[in-house]
Amino acid sequence: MASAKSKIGNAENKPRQGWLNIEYFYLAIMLVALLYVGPGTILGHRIVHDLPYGYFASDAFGEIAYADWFKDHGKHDLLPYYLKFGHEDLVAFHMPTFYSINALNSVITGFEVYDGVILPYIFLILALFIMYFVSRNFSKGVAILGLPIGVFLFFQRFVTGTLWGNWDFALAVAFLAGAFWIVGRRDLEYYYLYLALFIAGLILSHASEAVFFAVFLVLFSGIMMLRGAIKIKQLIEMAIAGIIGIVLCFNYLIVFYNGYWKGTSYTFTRLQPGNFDVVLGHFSWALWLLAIGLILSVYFLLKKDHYAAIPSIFMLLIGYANYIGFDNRALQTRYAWPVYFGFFLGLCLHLALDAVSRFVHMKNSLLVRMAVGILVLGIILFTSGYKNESNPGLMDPDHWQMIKWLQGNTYDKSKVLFFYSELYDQDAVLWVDKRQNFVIEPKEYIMAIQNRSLLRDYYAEFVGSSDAPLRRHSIFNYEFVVLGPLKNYYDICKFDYLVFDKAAYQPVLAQYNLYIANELIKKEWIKPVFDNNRVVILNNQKLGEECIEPRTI
Amino acid sequence: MNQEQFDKIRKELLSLLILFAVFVGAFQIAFYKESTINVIKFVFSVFWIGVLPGYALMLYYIDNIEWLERTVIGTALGYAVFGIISYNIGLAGVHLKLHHFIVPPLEIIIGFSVYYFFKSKQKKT
Repeated sequence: MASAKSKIGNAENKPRQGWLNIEYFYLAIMLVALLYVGPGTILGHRIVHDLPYGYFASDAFGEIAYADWFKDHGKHDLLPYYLKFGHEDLVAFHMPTFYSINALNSVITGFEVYDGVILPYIFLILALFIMYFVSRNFSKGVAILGLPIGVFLFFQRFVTGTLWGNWDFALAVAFLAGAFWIVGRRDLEYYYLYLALFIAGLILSHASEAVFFAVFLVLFSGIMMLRGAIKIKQLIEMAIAGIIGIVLCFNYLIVFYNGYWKGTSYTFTRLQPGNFDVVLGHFSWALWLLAIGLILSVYFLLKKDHYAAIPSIFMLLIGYANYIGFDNRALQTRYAWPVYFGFFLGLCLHLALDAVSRFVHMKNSLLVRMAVGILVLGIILFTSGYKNESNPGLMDPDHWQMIKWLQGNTYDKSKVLFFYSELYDQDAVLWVDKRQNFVIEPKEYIMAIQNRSLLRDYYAEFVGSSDAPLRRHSIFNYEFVVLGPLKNYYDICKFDYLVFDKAAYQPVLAQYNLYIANELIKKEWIKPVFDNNRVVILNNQKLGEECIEPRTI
Repeated sequence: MNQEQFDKIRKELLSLLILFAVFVGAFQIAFYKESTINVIKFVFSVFWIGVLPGYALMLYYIDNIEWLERTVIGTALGYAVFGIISYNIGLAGVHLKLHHFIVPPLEIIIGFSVYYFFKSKQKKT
């Protein structure tokens, strides 16, 4: 099946040599267009920024906090104490590959770790080009005409996943595409060794994609076996690939099982798509072409027994696995639908052009397909809601200056209390300062304002990663640690640093912030040490001393 | 390795050099506000961790797959293998900041060695 060729499959593929190959020019044009429309636009046409740029949710800051930690710490064994309530021996159970690549990109280039925000976009584009070659093994024309669908990756809602920090997912999409490609090339000698490497890569980058690929392999092998279209030898080889893949990341799988799996108590749950999830309608008018392409794909799959459509159809179905219990893990795969759906669009347009060519003579059909591909890209851009907009997202220069100041001017074990700010609603923005942070709980804070109370003990929450606090005693022996009450009434006189925002959407909150700050600096041991347009930081040099007198104001 | 094989690899390495230039051009257009030196640094990083190791690891299929396809698939493979080795040697005590001196060259050496000792000798026989 891997080498099976339909009538249109490989019909126009000829040996290509040298740089004058016109296909290369087409791919280069597409690469430029995708880079420009995607990461180029989103990141303000800059690679290096003065502050985290294009970060729209807490998880994105979590990505850089971990990468920064592993860059300093050097290995994926433990999590930073400042994110684990001061514990220095809790196991790192997150999938490590993206953090390593991001950290090393920073080491090689000299850029800040946060400038690694470009990487997930690059991995999605890489995945798109790999799927191009999956389609191309069927027909070059189909591949060429399918590539423009990839531009949807950078449209709302598809781009939401990346903007919100699903970066390791983007990396896994590239590995998944690679794994799909190698399964389609089972005719290659030792293909299963390469498959093993992609499986291990998947496990170490985003486990849910590894699970989906395992489902794919089982279904694919099973159906092919029933149809007598696969040899026993190949089934054994694929099983060997799975075993080697597991062996290559055996240590991590133990950590993952004990940490992530047990710690998060994952259960299979049905889930409806929410406001920020992708639905097929987000493909706009291109959905009609995709639907026709899907029907044709199923026809070619059943009648002509070709492989190229299978990954696309499978990932379409996986996108709906939220209804059978894969909840948001399935919904997440929809962000990458444009990577997989090129085959549908390409097949639809390819056969349409074939039909036209019966009436209109086309001298160079490949050149025509490239022109149509570029035209389709342009039409999608101008008609499907692409916005040439860019902004930093959550972070602003003043808060970033404050975070960098804390990172550079306070001792490592400092405890910092952050008073009200809208920014801290996405609390991983504070992980980056590498200190033990606590944030005032807005609800209780507002109650204190309503009661006109000035307090010494405010209700606050420890800012960190509270999931799966795991201690390792031996290779198979783990213990979950109780981190303590993360939310509690904390004595503000026991914090080394107190951070106050000077402005808020509700001015009374900022006024209350500053009222407390002004009360505190009446004590000679509490001094302002940092001040800019938005934020002031006070340093308490006598921890535990009475720093404020509770009263009604 | 005979002269024909050597010439083929030499041509492909030249193609990779051209690909590097194409990447620099493409990134410079997309990130037109960025300095060329930063663009080169980033593209170099992508090549060093992903493209070059991946190309080397896919060299085994030099006679089966066209070089661009091998290079694109190889780039994902390069990153995947980087992740596997980096995780394991990190746990063994090699600091992450040293991995770019160790892992990509190791992948490249493995890729070329496998090609030289298995593929090119297979051809001779």
